[in-house]
Amino acid sequence: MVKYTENALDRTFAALADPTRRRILQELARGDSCVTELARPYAMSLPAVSKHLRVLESAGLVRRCRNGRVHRMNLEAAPMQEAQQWIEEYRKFWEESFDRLDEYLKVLQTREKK
Amino acid sequence: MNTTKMTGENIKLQITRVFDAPRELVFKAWTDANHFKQWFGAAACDGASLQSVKLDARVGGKYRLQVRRPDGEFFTTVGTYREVKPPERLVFTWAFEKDGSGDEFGEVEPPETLVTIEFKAHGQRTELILTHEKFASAESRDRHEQGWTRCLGSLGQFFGK
Repeated sequence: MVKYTENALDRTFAALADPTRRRILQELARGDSCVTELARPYAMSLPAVSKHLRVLESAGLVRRCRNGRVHRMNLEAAPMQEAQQWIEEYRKFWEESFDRLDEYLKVLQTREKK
Repeated sequence: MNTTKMTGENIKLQITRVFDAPRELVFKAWTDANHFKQWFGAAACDGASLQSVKLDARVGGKYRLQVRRPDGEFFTTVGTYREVKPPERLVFTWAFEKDGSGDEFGEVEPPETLVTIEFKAHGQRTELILTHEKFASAESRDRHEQGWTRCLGSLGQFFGK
């Protein structure tokens, strides 16, 4: 099983805790976008969107590319994958343990009947 | 029957399984070291072997599961029992030791996660519901719970999963 760094995961989950930030990520999952495009669907001020983007940036979920005055945002896959990996590793671990428990309980009960 | 829930507070893995055995026996399989070491995890860790099991299933009691991988590295899980309610409920913390190769309890490496197991009797069968949770930071713990499985799903597609 993989051991994870606490801080990186904490930052990822904290960043994902906000519905607006999750919508921004969904938006970016469709393709790169610039800050003004991201602000439009939420009738949000640019500073407000920028604040959310900074949280996502510090969690390593998005990356900012500057092209003159236009800042383009794109999605960074690694932290999300780490969160998914945590779940998948433990799912596999517990499922396999349960398979063995199932077997063991059968053996145990057969033994008791004898 | 599995669900993966990510919320504003934490990530949560839930697995449900029905065992063809009475509830008392299934509960015992979790709380008696001699039973426990017969089935717990070892095979799941790619040829790893369970070296030692210490288990004191009382509220405040501790457990230590020492697993040694073929490459010599130790994965030693330790935790404290938070709730022990035979034969229906078991709650314990879950963390890895930093080194894990010793014979006694060693220094723990964060993060600590939480495992809750519910045992439900259905005649001679037992439904077991395991919940394994990783809590986010204190900052995000104050927020409201927000399911975002759908969001994760679409992001998963994006990552080519």
